[in-house]
Amino acid sequence: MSNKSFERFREIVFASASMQNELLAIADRSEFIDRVVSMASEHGYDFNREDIVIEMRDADAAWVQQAV
Amino acid sequence: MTGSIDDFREWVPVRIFRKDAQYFVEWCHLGEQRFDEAYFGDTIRRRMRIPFNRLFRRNTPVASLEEIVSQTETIPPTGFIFHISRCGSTLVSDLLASLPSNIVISEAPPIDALIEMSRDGDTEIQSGAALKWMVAAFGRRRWSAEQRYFIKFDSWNTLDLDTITKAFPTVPIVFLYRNPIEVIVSHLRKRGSHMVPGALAKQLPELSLDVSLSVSVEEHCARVLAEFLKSALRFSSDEQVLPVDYEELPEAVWGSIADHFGVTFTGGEIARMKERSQFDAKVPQQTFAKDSDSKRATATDEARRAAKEFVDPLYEQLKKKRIKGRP
Repeated sequence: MSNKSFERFREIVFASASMQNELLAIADRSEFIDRVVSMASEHGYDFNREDIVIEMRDADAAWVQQAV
Repeated sequence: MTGSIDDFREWVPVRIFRKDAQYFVEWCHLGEQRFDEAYFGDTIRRRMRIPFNRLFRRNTPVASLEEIVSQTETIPPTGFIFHISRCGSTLVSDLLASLPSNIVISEAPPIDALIEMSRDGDTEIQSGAALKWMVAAFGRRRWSAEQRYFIKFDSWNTLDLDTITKAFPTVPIVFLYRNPIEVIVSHLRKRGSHMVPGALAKQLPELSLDVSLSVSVEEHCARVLAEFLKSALRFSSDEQVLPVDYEELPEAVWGSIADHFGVTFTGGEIARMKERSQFDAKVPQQTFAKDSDSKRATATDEARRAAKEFVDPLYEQLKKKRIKGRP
């Protein structure tokens, strides 16, 4: 999976209130990752669990490092 | 820009960051969550536990703030709260936040970042305009009950009163202060980030890391507090700014502070704030007890010396102005 393809999927989620609401309702991390993988698949993106774990890790690192 | 402007209603700015020589706002999904905790960061940390916010935060260029806030109903700021730290400011913001009719943004990093950029005259973005947009972004009405909007700034933003009063010349300001020895003792027990040597060296070159490390911890704390008080004193004759002593809390929240902010609380709202004031604002599970006597009793000789030499005269000046200006 390329980082850019996940960025494109992010845009799809940001444009869809129903996708956001469904994902927001999931509190369990593992369940959340599974649903992101299946939701992405429904939109033609082939991500696996490890891809999403890496994306979350990168987002966490950015959160820690990027503040002005 | 990620997503359309309309989609930002349930999102809040959580920070400013720089990437490829451009400044961005990062947004977190707040949903129905109110800012009802002691600090902005507490509420955001809680929301960041949701897996969605770990993976799906949004980024927009800072300039997009203008368009985002222009398409949403916003409440103009009702009042600003400045303070010297450890002086009851969290109590004030916590009591105000206990009312659903109030939006209270307490020590929000995106606001602090833009104040710093305004002070530095950052020309890469319109930092002064961006500060106004950011303040407006937090004042977007998300609940119909919301009528008023208060911002509690970081203590070190007191050094930037000039920048803030220029940007918001008509917003009433309350400046909270306390007997300096009590504030110093509090910082000696648990140091605030601004009391770390060199932390404020950009705003206060006279307290560079070298200087800060060459004096006692007590003197460093006293000199930082002295600079906060000097800044407040420059504005204390201004009608826009009301100095309030820790000793006047909590009653001042529904008394002189409410009057200064032009706010009339209902009997029910005052009762709610009185009830909340029974508990510690920073540790809500504990009942609140004033600890001025114990703080003064445990002060070291060096803390007393530093307070007397650097801060007490300024504290007395502010107290005199407060008493003189009291209605």
